[in-house]
Amino acid sequence: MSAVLAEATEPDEPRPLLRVAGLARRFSLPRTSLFGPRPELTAVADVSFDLAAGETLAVVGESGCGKSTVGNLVLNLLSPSAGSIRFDGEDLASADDTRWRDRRRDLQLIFQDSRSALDPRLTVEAQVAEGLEIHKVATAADRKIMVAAMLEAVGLGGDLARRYPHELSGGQQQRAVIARALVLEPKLVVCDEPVAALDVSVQAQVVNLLRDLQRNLGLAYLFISHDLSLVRHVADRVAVMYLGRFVEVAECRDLFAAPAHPYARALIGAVPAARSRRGRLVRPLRLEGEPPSPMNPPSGCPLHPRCPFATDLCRTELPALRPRADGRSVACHHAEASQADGLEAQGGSDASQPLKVFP
Amino acid sequence: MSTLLEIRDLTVRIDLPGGPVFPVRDVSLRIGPGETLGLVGESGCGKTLTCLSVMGLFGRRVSVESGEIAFKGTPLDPKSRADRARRARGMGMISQNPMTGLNPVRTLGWQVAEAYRIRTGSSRRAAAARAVELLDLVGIPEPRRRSRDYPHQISGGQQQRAMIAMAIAGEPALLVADEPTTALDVTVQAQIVELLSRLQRDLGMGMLFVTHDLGLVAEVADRVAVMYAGRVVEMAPAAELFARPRHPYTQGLLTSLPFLDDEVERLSPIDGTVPSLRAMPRGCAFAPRCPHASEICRTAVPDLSGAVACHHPLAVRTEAA
Repeated sequence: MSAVLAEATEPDEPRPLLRVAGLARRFSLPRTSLFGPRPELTAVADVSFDLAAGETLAVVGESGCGKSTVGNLVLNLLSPSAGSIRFDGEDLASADDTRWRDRRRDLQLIFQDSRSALDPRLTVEAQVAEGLEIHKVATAADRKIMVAAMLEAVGLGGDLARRYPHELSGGQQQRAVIARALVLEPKLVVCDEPVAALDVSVQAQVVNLLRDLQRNLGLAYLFISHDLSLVRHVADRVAVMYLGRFVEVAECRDLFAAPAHPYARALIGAVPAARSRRGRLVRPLRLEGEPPSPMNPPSGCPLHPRCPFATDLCRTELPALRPRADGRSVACHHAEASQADGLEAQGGSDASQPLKVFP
Repeated sequence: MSTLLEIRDLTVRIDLPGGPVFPVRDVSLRIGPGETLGLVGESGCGKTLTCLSVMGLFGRRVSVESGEIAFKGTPLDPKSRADRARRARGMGMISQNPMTGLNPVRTLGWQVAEAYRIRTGSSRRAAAARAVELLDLVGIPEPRRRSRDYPHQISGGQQQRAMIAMAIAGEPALLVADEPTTALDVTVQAQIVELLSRLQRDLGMGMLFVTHDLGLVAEVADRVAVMYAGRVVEMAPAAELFARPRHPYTQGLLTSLPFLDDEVERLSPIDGTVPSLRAMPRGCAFAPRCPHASEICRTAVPDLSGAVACHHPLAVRTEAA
C-alpha cells in the first residue's frame, strides 16, 4: 500500500521495472466430504514489492512458504486471486494474449531442474535459437550470430553447442537454460533456485555467470532461494517469506547484520557458524516445532505458535508489514525486542564452539 | 585410543552392464568411541556407498572388492550371519529420506519397538514401553499417542525424529547418519542437528556423519574426511580443515562457498566437473581441475600419507592470512 502512496506523492521518482501490490493467490483443494465446501489454501497473501532495473531482490523462506508461487505469479504462469502486477508500468494480469506474447520476451525464467526444462530432442544451439525464432528477432543469419555469442558467453561455445542435453553435465545444462533465457535480452529474470541442484564446486561457476550477465545486460533478478549464504552474496534486497507473507524486507547487508523479524533471525541463525568468517553476527533463535500447514494457518501472526516473543496480541492480531525509519519493512509486534536480543552476542560468539549456540 | 570402527583400504565394486566400476577406492577411516567423523564430498563421490559398506547393506550388483571393515577390533565378514547380527546390535543408521527407512504399513511405536527388541532381545511389552520413551527422547510431542500413528501421518521433521529413535533404540555403539538433514528445512535442520549431538553425548555413541554441507560438518564433527571421486583426499580435525585446508580440492570447496559476512565480488569456483566413473584419470582424479597439477599428478595416484592425498599439498599458512 505504502508503495502506491509513494508514487502519488513523489511523481519524480523513477518508475520501478516491476511493481507488485497486494498480490494473493489461493488454491481450491479437492472436497474432503461430499457436500462440504472445497477447502482453500492461501499460498501467497498480500505481497507487495518493487523491483528496479538492474536490481536483485531475493525471496527466501522454507519449502512451502509460497516463494515459487510468487515467481510464477510474476511470470503470469499463474493468475493472481487478488492484487496487481505492473511491469514497466503496464498491468500484465489484464493484458490480452497478443500483448502477452510481446511482453514475454522481457520476462524470462530459470528453473531449478534444468534437465526437465530442456527439450531432450533439440541440440543446445537449437534450444537457444528457438526463442529468437518465436519472437521473430532479426534475420536468420543474425540469429545464428546472436546464439553463438550467447553460448560463448555462458561457456558453451564450439563443440558443446551441437550437443543434446543428455550429453551435458548438470552445470552445463544449467548454462544452456541460462543462455536460452538471456538470449532474448529480457529485462527481468525470475531465478527459481537456479543452483540448488548443482554441486558446490559448480554452483560458484553458475553464480559468477549470473552476476556477470546481470552487469553486462542490466538485468533485474527475482532470485528465489533457500540458501541464505548464497542470497547474501547475490542480492541487493531480501524479502523473507513465511506462510505466504513477506515478514521482513530489507537491504541485504542490513538484514544479515541485524534481522528484525524473529523468523528472519531464526533462518539466519540456522546457517552454520562456519559459513561466517568471524563467527556469528546474530544470536540464533530456536523456533519450536515446524512450519504449520498453509491449509490451516494459525490465527494472528502466523509465526506465533513457534515464536518465543509471542504475546496475546500476536495470537489475535496479524501484524502488518510496516516500513520503519531504518529503511526496512517488518511485520512483527515485537521486532525491536527480537532484534535487540539477537545482537546481544555480537563480538562474543565463537565459531570454534558452535554447539553452545543452542543453550 | 581404542577404535570403534576401522575401515582399511576399502574398495567397492558395482557390476554394471558395461563392466564393473569402482566408486569407492582404497578408503581408510577410523572412528573412536564417542567420536564424530564427518565425511564430506559432492554427489557421486562415494560417501553413501561407504556408509552402506559399514552397515553391510549392499544390493545384488554391489560388492566389496578388497579391504576390510572392523567393528570393535574384530573384522566383519559380509557373508557371515553372526556378523550381520553383530552389526544389527551395534550400529544404527539414519538416511536422507526418512520414508525410505520407515515401514509405511506399521505404526511408529511398532517400528521403534522392533529395533529395540532386535538389539536387546527384550519382551514385546518392555519394548513397546521403551519405544514411547524413545519417541519422547527424540522430541516427538505426545509420544504415547504418536506411537500409534503411521509414518504418513506425521511431518518430514517428525519422520526423521522417528528414524533417529529407531536408530538409537538399544543404544548402538555407532550411529551412521547419511545426510540426515538434507531433506529438511533449515529451522528444522538446526533442531535435528542439536538432537543428534545431544544424543551422541548422552549415549557416548561414535558417529559417522555424512553430508555435502561443509558448514554443517564444521558444527558437528570432531574430525573430517573429504572425499573426491571415490577416494579420501584429506583428513583433519574439523577446525584445522577449515582454517588451513591442504588439498587444493578442499580449498576449492571452501572458496566456492560465499560467507555470510564477507563481501566478495566473485566467488572462486573449481573449474570443470567431476570425472565420470568410467573415465577416471590415471593419476590424481583431481588433476584435470587442479591449478597446481604437474606431470606426476597425471601419472601417479597420491596416497593419503599423513593427512592429505596430494603431490603438491598447500603450504600450511601462518596466521597472517
